[in-house]
Amino acid sequence: MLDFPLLAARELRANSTRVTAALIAVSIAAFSLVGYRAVLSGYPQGFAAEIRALAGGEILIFSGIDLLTPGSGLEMEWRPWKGRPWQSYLEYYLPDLPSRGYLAFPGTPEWAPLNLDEIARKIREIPGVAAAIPYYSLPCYVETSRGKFEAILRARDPAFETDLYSMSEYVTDGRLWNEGQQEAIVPVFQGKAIAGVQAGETFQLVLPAPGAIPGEVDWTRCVEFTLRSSGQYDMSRRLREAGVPGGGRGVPTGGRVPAPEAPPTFEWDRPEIMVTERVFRSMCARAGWRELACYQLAVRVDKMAMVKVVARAVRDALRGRYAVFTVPELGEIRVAGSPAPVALSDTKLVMLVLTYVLSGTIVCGSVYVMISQSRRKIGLLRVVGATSRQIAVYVYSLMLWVFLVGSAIGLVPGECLRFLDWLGSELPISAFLKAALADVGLAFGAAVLVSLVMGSSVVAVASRLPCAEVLARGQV
Amino acid sequence: MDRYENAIIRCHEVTKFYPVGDGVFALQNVHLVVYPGEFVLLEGPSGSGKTTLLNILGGIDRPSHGEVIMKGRKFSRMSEDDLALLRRKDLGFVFQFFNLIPELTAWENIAFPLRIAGVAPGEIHERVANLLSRLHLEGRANHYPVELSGGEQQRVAIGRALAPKPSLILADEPTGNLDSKTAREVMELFRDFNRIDGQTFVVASHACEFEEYATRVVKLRDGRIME
Repeated sequence: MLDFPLLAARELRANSTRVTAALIAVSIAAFSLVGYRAVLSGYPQGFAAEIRALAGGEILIFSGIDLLTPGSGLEMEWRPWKGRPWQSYLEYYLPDLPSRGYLAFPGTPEWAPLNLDEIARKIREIPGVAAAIPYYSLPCYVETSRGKFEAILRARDPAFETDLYSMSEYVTDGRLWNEGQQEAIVPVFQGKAIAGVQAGETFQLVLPAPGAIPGEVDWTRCVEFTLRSSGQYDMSRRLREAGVPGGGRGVPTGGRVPAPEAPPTFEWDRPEIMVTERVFRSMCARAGWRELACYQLAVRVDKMAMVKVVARAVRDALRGRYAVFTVPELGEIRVAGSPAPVALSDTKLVMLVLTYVLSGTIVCGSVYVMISQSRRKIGLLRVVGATSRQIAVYVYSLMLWVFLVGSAIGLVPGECLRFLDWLGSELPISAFLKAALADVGLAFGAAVLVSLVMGSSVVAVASRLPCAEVLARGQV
Repeated sequence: MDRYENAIIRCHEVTKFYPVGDGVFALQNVHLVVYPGEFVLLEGPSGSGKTTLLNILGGIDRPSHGEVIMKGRKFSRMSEDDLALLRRKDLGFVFQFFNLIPELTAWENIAFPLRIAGVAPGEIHERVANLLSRLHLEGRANHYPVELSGGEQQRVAIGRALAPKPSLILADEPTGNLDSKTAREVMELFRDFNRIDGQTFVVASHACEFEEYATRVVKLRDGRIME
């Protein structure tokens, strides 16, 4: 049997010009595989910067939603949606949630405030997790001489206003709040601040009291506050200037007052009036909220390139009891101009599969041409006693050599890329070696798989060639 | 009767018809029996059916009518893979145009049928070294076919045919592509292997000058055996 791989290797060497294109195609596929795993598992640093700053991190964790996962034999149950839009950003990911409800495994928790201690304990040790910031909010309405406008009051901890996540980047008029002052920044939609509140202007903000049912609010017992607008922020200005189409759904807050004056243009244009966490807590205390419920936790990662990897690890650590999404997913949707905020399928994976299919087609085509021009040789192999199975081994060897050598060529720059990626991370060398070994295994595994699957048609043709082919004229 | 039963190969009323134009009979009712240790020379002019008969004897081609039996097995009832396995063990071929595998050296070409038959490496080495010595190719073992002369290539092809120690070697115009001196050397090699090792040969040739090497001469004319 060993002679057929040897013969195939020599045949390929003798036809090096013919197999060059096939080798290039396979090496590109192998390089793409490593690239897909090493680099494209995250996003460029500046990607979806606005929504990351708004959310406060790259990964969002929500309570009590068990998404339908394939491969589970457990029966699932339908549950009505009990959450409120002001509580979290979940409805951006699952827009049908309020109308259709959701499926969950029996026994999994309902929508409820997050157990922050439990989550912190579980995700603390995950490599790449830099910080976790709770999202505290309440529905409210803003009252000015121009009328009442529905909004969301949100707490921002100034300690977390750093670099990539700072709201100061998006302040268009005025400044961020001063710690300890009753100040707020108000959102701008299509160039207009909510309720027309200008920087330096004071406005009334009405907060509801807690309702009888947890998670509900009581608008009959409202408390009114006077706040001063320290500035305005606009999350969509740069996108509008770049010509990215908007068209969001608007954000109902669950209050009784109609939506803001200028409707949001992007999905992530939330009517969030932001105050410091200290101000938020004191306002809540006055409105009767003894405990602050948190329904959303934003996780920050060390590197954007690790977002997907960390999200997977977080998902695994929380064992399906929480919904975990990466924030940039919505960025992808928005940049793509998609009208509906649904999670995208993993297009990179599809592209990778297509690359392998394309390279497989090129390899099979090259080998088919070689076989067509070597019919006499195959006839000769049959004459000296090769069975159709041995001919199949010979043809598979031709394809495997191309795939393995091509993969090895593609792995070299791919692993260099991974090494550079690792240099910029704080991961141990063992993590790099493990990932590199996995790359090699996957690349060679894919090579064998594609050869076996796509090469079967060429093998079928070659192994059926009769020994009488040896009688054809020409060279072996 | 016993001798007939012990024949290496028998062909009964073999006819080969090519439906080309009005139709051509390459062979008509050919009956041939080859016994162990024979050196049969199939002699006839071009187009007499020598190659067709050899191909049918070797299971490379199938007759339109008639039967070929080797070691009690009828070719008509054997699949392509069965025939390949039979050829691997019991039949050796020598072609006019050598048909060596260009990517393999002389040593590897001779060893190739042994390797695919799963012969142990030690035995392969022994057999190939012995054949190279008897074929006077010791110094050419690591040369590729393109680096060998016509006579040397044909000797490698003979080595390849002999390596599995087959019951029968079929040679189709083995001297047709060689000068007369080299042709005689090749025929002498056949005779040596026939006389010393008892190797059975069926050699097709259009030249009657090689009759002296054969133990039996079968003359073919227009697809029929004349004598």
